[in-house]
Amino acid sequence: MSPKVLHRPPSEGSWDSDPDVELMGRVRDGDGAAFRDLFTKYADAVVNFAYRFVGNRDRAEELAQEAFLQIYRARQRYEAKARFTTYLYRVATNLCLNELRRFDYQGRIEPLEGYPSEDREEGTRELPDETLPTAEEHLAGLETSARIKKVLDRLPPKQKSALLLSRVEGFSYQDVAICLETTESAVKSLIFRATQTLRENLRDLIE
Amino acid sequence: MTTAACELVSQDLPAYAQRRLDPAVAAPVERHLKTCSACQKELLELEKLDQLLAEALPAITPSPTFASTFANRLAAEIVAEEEKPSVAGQGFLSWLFRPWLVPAVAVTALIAIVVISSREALRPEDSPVVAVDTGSKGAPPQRVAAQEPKEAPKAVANASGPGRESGLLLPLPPADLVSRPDLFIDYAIIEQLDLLESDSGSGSAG
Repeated sequence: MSPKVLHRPPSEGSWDSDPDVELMGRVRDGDGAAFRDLFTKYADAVVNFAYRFVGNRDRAEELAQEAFLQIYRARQRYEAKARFTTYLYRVATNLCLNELRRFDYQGRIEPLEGYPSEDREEGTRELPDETLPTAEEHLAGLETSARIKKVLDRLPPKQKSALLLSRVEGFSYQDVAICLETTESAVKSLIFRATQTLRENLRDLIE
Repeated sequence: MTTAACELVSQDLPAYAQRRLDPAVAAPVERHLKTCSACQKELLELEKLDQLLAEALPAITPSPTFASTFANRLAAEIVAEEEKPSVAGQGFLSWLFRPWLVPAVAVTALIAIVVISSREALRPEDSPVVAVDTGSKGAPPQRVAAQEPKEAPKAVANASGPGRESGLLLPLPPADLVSRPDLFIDYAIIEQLDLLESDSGSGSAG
């Protein structure tokens, strides 16, 4: 399955030249079309980010919607101090962290997208397609992914946030620090500890 | 076997693996990697880990109703904002702009001033300067504290006769009562007391 191309936040560049900051400024001034543009551009990415956090699609969509609604409600107080995506993901991260604090999401791992559920009859093809993985490869991939997600879910929330924002969403350490309202050196430490945990628990997969 | 240098470099390796390090910080890491096989191995593991994360966390497609659901929630938000009284941008001082509120506050304040002033005028025995002690019926009133500015104010417990209330004397510095128009009523009482004392021939109260 080819990975869906998501609009990812830029990792470089100053915020004052960020076109999304200008769009958000127009939202502040009452431009609804600008807000629609921002939503269209980043909604999918935020849904995916929330999904990687909570592992539940419906809840991830609700959290993503709530993030945009919060930004809309606060539009008149908006002051550009960082890139727009940093601001957006800061809101989304706080919502996801609150969600994890409120509910125990460990163990609620849904069947991954693109992989047939073991309970369903999917995966049966009339014609063999050599580009698709075999059933054994499918199962192995499913198990590996489930195992990785399990290790991720056991990370402390801030380590998981820092890891996802940096290594999956592509934010710089500086932007991750803004999202998590901490310092860059703290982010470096969070990511170091998270990667050490992953390496220890997934050693047989990475050696 | 890890060394102290390995421990230091290890902290920077995750960022180095993603080319996130400043050149000044990356340079010593690169130099160390050239000579340390353990750290080279760790770097390869981190790169493999990034690859695994990307594969283990495939992107999902939001549900077909995601956008329309959000549009409905946003529309409800907009309606709620429009129905709310418009105080946007006025913040803390927004109440000043309510047309009925300012006159109401002014009238209330005026009434309060009149009431307080009337109460002050009608209750001279509550003067902070003088407490009139009528311990027994018909006895000449005693002046208290007027000549004793340093005396701490005290509850006039002895003055709690019928129709009298006891109360604390408020501390006041030695004051020229004539220059205190707010106490002129009390000054008038003092004059009365002086007259009474001179008539009765008693000495000045100590």
